[in-house]
Amino acid sequence: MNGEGGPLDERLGRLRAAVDAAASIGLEAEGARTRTVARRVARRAGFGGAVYVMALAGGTGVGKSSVLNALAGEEVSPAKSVRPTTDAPVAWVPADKRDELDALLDWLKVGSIVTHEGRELDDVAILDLPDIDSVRVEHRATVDALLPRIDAVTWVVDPEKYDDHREHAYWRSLVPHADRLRFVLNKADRLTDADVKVVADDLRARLIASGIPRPEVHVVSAVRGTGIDGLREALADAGHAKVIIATKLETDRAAAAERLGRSVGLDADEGYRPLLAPEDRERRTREAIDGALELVDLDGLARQVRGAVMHRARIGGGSFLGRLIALGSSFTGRRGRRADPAAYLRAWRSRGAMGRVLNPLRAAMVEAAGGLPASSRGRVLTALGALSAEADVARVIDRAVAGAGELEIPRSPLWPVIGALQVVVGAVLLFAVAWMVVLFVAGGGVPVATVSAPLLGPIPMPLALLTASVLISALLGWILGLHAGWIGRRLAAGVGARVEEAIREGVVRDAFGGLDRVEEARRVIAAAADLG
Amino acid sequence: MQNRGGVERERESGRPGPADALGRLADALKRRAASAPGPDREAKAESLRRHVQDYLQPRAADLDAPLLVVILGSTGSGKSSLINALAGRALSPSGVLRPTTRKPVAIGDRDDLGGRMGSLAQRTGLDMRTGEGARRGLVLVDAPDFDSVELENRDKAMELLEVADLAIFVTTATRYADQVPWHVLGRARTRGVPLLAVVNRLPEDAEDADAVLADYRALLERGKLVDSGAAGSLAVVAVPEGALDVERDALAADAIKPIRDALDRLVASHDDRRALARRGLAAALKGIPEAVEAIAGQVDEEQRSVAELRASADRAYGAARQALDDEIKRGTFMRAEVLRQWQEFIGAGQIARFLAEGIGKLVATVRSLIEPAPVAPATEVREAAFADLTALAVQHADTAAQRTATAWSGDRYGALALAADEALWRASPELAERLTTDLEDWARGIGDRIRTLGARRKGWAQAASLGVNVVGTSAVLAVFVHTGGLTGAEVGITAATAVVNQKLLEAIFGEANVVAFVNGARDDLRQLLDQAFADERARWSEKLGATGDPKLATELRRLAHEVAAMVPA
Repeated sequence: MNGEGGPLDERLGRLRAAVDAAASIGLEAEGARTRTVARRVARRAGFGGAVYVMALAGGTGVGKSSVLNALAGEEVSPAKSVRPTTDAPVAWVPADKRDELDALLDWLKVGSIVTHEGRELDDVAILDLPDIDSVRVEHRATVDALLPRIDAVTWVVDPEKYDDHREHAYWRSLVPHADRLRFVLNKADRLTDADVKVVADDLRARLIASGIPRPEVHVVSAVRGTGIDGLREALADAGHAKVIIATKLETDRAAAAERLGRSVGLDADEGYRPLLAPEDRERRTREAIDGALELVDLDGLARQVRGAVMHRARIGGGSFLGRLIALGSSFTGRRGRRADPAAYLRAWRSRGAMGRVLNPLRAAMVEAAGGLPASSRGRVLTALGALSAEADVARVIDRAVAGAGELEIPRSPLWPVIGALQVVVGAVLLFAVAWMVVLFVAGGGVPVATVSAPLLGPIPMPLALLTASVLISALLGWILGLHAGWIGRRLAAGVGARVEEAIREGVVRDAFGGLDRVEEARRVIAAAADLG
Repeated sequence: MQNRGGVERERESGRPGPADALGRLADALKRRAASAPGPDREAKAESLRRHVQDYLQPRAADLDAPLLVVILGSTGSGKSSLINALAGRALSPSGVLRPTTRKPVAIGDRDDLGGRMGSLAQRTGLDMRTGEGARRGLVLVDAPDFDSVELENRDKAMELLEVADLAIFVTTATRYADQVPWHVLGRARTRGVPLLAVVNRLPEDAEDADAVLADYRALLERGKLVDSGAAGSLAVVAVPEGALDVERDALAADAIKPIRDALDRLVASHDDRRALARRGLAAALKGIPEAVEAIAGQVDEEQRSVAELRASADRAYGAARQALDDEIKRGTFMRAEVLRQWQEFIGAGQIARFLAEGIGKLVATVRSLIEPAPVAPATEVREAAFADLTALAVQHADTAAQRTATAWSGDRYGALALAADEALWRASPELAERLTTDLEDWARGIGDRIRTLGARRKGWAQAASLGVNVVGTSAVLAVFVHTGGLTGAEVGITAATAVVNQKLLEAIFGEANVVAFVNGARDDLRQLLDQAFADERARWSEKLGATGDPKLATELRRLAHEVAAMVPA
C-alpha cells in the first residue's frame, strides 16, 4: 500500500533511522524495541500477500478449537473437556496456497497444518492458538510471541468467560488493530435467547469501554453449528488479503513510531515541537554569553592591549629613560601582568566562577528535559552532556579566545621618528649637561662670574639647551603616548569586538550542542512518526 | 464462651504472651504498610495485617466464636447459586452478566453477626442476612470474584480469604485450569485455611466429566492442596451442567449434598467446630513465617536499595562540596571587574594615605587634596562577591543534583522518587536566595567582630574613619581572594587585590590578628556552605520517605517466629 508517506519500504527506512537516532541519545532500549517491530514488519511483508493469517484466540475452554472445527466442518484441532487442550497452534489453510504459505507458517512456528479444498475461505490461513489464561503459562508465552505476527484476530469468549481481567488487557493491546479484530461469543446454546442478547450487548458495551469503537460480535454455538455460517461469510467478505496485511503492517509501524516518539516527548496530537521553546533558549543563551564575557573580562583585556601597545611604543620611540624602564619591565614580570593580552585571555579561568556560564546552560537542559517522559529523562540528560557541561563550556571559551586572541601588536612609522628625535634631544641634553659640568666642575675653582658662556638672550646657552631638550623630550613623550594610546584604544576595541563575537558565536553554536543533537534525533523520530 | 481466650489472661498476669506477639506483629505490619513503596507492596503488608488482626487475633482469643465460611471462585463459576442452594432460598441473585456479585452477601444466625463479623461486614460491604437458611455457629459469605475486570472485587475476595475459617472453592469445567484461581489457592494453602472444593458445570458425558475431575484432582495434588480438606483429605464435589434449582436461583440441592452435610455436621457438633477452628488457626500460625518472609525480604531489598541511593547522593554531594571548597581555596572565582573596582578604590584617596608611610603619605595627602575622594564601592563589591560565590555554589549544587538524579533514575525506587519531583534534577530554586541571605548574615557577623576587635586597638579611630563597611568588605575579600597557588602570568588582578587588601587589614589589626580573624571568618563560611549543601542533600532523603526503620525486617521475622511457636489452646 503506497499510502501517505511513500511505500512501506521508505517508511520502514525512516523508522530504522529513528531507531539509530534514539540510540544516539541514550535510548537504546526503546530503539531496540522499535527495531524488533521494524524487522517483524519487513519480514512479514517479504512473505507476500496472497493469504492473510487470522488467529482464534481466547481463554482456555471457551471453544477456540470447536469454532475452527465448526468453520471447517471437520475436526482440524481436537476439542476436549480437559483443560487446557491446545498446546501448540494448529493451522487450517487452503490446499492450493499450502506451498507458498510454507515459509510464513514456518516463521509462525506452526507445525501442525491441515489443508482444505474449500473455495470460500481461500485467502486466509486460520490458526487455532493455545489459551492465554491457564496454569500452563507457556501457552500464554506462545500466544504473546505469536500474536504480533498475526494479521487478523478473532477473539473467542463464552458466557462464563467474557469479563476476565486478563482478556481485557489483551483487548486493550489490540485496540490499534480493531479493524481486523472480531469477537465470537460461543456456547450460545447454554443460554436462553433472551439471555444471549443480554450477554452479547454487555460484551459489546465492555469492548467499547475497552476502546474498540464498533466491535463485531458473532454469537455462535460451535456444538450446534448456529451462527457459524455468518462468521464464515464475514471472514470471506473481510476484504483482500493484501489490504488486510498492508493495513496491519502499517498499523504496527505507525504504533512503533508513535511509541518511540512518546519516549522523546513527541505528542502525536501536537506535532513536532522543540523541547526548549526558542524564546527560553534565547534567554538562556544570552545569560550564558553575558557570563562568558564576564569571565573573559573585556575591560581587562582592553587595558592589556593598551599596555602592550604602550610598551612597544616606548621601546621604539621612548626617551632613553623610557626605554630603560620598558626593557626593565619585561624582566620584572610587570609587562606580563599588565601588557600581555594573549596570556591574559588564556588565563580566563582564574577570573571567576564557571557557574556564570554553566548555570543558565544547565537550567536550559533541565527545562528541556522536563518535556521528556520521566523514564527517559535521565538517559537523555546524560547523553546531552549535562554532566560534562563544565568541560564543554571550558572548551567553547578556550576555542573562542584562542581564535580571537591572537594579535599582532602593531608598530608605527612615527615611533622610530620620535625615537630618532628623542636620541637627538637626548644627545643635546647630554651635551648641555656635559657643558655645564665642564663649566662648573671641570673649570676648577674658576668663579662663575668670570666664566663666559654664549648667551641666548639673557639665558646662558647650556641652561637654555638643557631646558629646551627636557621640554622637547617631554613633548615627544607626550606625543608618543597620545599616539600609542590612540592606536592602543583602536586595537583594543577591535580585539574586544572580535573576542566578544567569537564568544557569542561559540556559545550559540556549541554550548547547546548536546541539546541540538537531541533535537536532531527528535526530528528524525518525528519524521518516522509522520509528525512533520 | 467456654474459653475466654489468652489475651485477657495475659493482661491479668501482666506477662507478654503469644497473643501479645500477634498484636505486635499486626503493629509491625501496619508500620510496614505505611512505609511501603508503591501500592502493591503496601497491599501485601496490609492484607497480611488483616489476616493477623482480623483472623488470628480474634481466633486465638476465642476458638468458639462463629466460623466464617467463605465461598470463593472465578467470575461466573456459580458462587451465588451455591450459597442460594446452601441457604435454601434466593439470597444472592445469580445472573448471566459478569461479574454478577458486587455486594457480597452473608448469612448467619443473628447472634453470630456481631463482633469481628460486624466490623468485617462494614469494611467489605457485606450484606448481612439472617433468618431462614442461617446455620448457628457458621457465617456463610458469597465472596465477589477474583478474576473479572473489577479489580475491587478481587481485593474484597482476597481480604475475605485472609479472614476465613473455611473456604469453599468453586470452579467450573471451563475454568478449573485457569491460572488466577490457582494463585488464590496457593495463598489458601500457605494460609492453611481448610477447604471444600466444587467443580460446577461438568459436561453431561460421564467420561468427559470423569476426565475433568481426574485432571482437577491431579492439579490439586500438584498444588499440594489435597491435605487441606475441611475433614482431612480434600474431596471434590462434582456438579453437572444444568443441575439447577431454578425456583431458588440455586444449584440443585442433591448435587451439593456433600457440602451441605459438611456444614450441617459443623452446626451439629461444637467439638467439630472447635476442632476445625483450631486446625485452621494452627495451620495459619504455621504459615506466618513464610508469609512474613515474603514481606521481610522486600524490606531487606528496599533497605539495600535505599542504602545504595543514599550512598550515591552522599558521594555526589560530598564531591560537589569538595570541589566548591577547592575553588574557594584557589581564590579565583571572583570576577575581575569587581576586583579591579576594589583595587582602584583602595589604591586611591584616603586608603592610600592611610596605608602609605613617610614621603608616600605626603604625596597621597597632596593627591587627595587635588583628586576628589572616590566613593567607597564597599556594598557593591561585597554584593558582587556574594553573587559570584553564590553562582559557584549553585553550579556545584547543580552538578551534585544531576549526578544523583542520573544515578537514581537507573534504580526502581530512585526513579519513582524522581518522577514525583522534577525539581530534583537541579539545585533547589531557593538555594541562590538562601545563600545570599546567609552570606549577608555572615558579613554582618564579620562587621560585629571588626568592631569588637577594633575597640581594643589603638589605630582604630583612624580605621573607623574608613568605615566599618569598607573594612568589612576588605575582610570578606580577604577570605575570598588570596594568592593561593597562582604564579606567573596568572598572578593578575586577583593576587594584586589580595596583596593590597591584606596590607590594609594588617595596618588596622596587626598581622597576627588578621590571620586569626580571616581564619575564623573562613570557618564560619565553611559551616554556612556545609549547612546549605546538607539541606540540598536532605531533599533526596525526604524523597526516600519513611523507608526508615532498618530493623523492621528483623523485627518482622522475630515476631513471625514467636507467632509460629504459639499453640492454640
